[in-house]
Amino acid sequence: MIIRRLNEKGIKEFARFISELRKGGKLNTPTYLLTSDSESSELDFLLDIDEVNFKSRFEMGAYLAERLGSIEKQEFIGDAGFWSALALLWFDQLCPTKSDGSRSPSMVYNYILSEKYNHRPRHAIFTTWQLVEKYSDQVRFLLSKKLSVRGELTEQIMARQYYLSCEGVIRTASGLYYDTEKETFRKGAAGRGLGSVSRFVNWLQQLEVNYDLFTMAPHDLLQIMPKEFDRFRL
Amino acid sequence: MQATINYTGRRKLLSSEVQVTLNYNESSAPVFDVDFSLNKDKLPNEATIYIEAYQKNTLQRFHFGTVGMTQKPANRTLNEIDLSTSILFRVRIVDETEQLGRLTASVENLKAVGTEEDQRASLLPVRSRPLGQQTWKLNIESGMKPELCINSRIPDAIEQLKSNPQFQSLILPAAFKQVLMYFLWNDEETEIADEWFRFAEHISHERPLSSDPLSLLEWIDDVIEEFSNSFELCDLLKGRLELGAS
Repeated sequence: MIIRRLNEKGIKEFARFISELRKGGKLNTPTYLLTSDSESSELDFLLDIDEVNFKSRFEMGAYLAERLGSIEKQEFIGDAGFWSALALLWFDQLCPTKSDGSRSPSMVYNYILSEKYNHRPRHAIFTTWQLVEKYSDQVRFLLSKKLSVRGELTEQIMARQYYLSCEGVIRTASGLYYDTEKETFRKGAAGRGLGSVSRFVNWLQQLEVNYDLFTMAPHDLLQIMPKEFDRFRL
Repeated sequence: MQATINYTGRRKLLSSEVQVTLNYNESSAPVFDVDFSLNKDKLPNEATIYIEAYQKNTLQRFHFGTVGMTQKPANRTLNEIDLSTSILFRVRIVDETEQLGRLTASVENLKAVGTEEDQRASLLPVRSRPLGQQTWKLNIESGMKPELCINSRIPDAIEQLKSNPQFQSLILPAAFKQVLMYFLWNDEETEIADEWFRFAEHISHERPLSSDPLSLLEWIDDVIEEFSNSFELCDLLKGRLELGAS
């Protein structure tokens, strides 16, 4: 399918659909918005997307990173209509129908790219693409679950968006929290206990007051890491 | 309250020590430049200077040499930044003589001056942005200056708005109306909203004290009418069209 961008009318329609579902409505996904000239328009570049059922958010991110790899980022990076169109295209995977016909979507900004900087990282597609495009396998620990499972760990790490740019931080977190055998994050990573991702983020926030996190390599971070993280160190 | 301990003696740079300029090129990504007037007291000569351009959750970092010897990177193109609103800059000066890079000075939230200096003072900065099939769009975020975005596919988009009466007469009154409606309907009480209200009242008359939507709409219509009169927008458009036809 050739991807188009939702215009303001299309975005409003998509938002209305999500709101209706959140109120308990049982509606079909309005995929017609993706082809209708009054709700969407052509992109300035060609993006052809296959019908794919992704096993995980990581797989989706890898697929998109590959498809968008040859396109100038400025063409799409801040385009809410583009990212929202992709979320609509894959909405049935992001928010599957239950046996009683109902669905439980997350907040609207999980599907429609928000202008607000604090909501923006919560977009299911945009953030997944950003992480995989930048770090490839290193972010499997964040994106190992099905599309319908909200990326709680991602949201914890991305609560401070600067960390997305700090390679050492992401590689350290990957080393600590990815269970290579189970191909998901390790037990205890998602909680609030000692050594968890949320504690890791708290520690980074203290560290960045005095140090340049951007240039810190994993071995720098591991060297000064508090003992509470020992349980995750191999 | 959480205490902040400044045990590394880092200092906040003044915005006057680092002046960033930005060149928007309508066919490609913007390029930035930096002029340093660093107060080098307490800054080690060998400390490294990094400039980070950022917006929303996109960021690009550039190495600008050291305090003792600044050196501009050859490539200063901001091709990975979200351009949907104004780009901000951050400067970090890092002492890397020990194993861990220690921050010695920094400043955040710098905005570009220079080529866009006129726009800084302007009530309505104009930007060139990808907008699909929309020819223009107003970007308004609470607390920020409204921005008028012209579709980057239009050749010389920004220049057209500055000098082409067809663009000015068809876009500016509608954009002005949208801004006033946004500020009034959202009860914005920011300095930016005040500036716009002062401008509108200067053109026309004082806005009504009442919050009755009909009275407010009537006032907005008066403002737009007076705005169009004072710049003779219809005559300008007519003249341009006649010139094009002859």
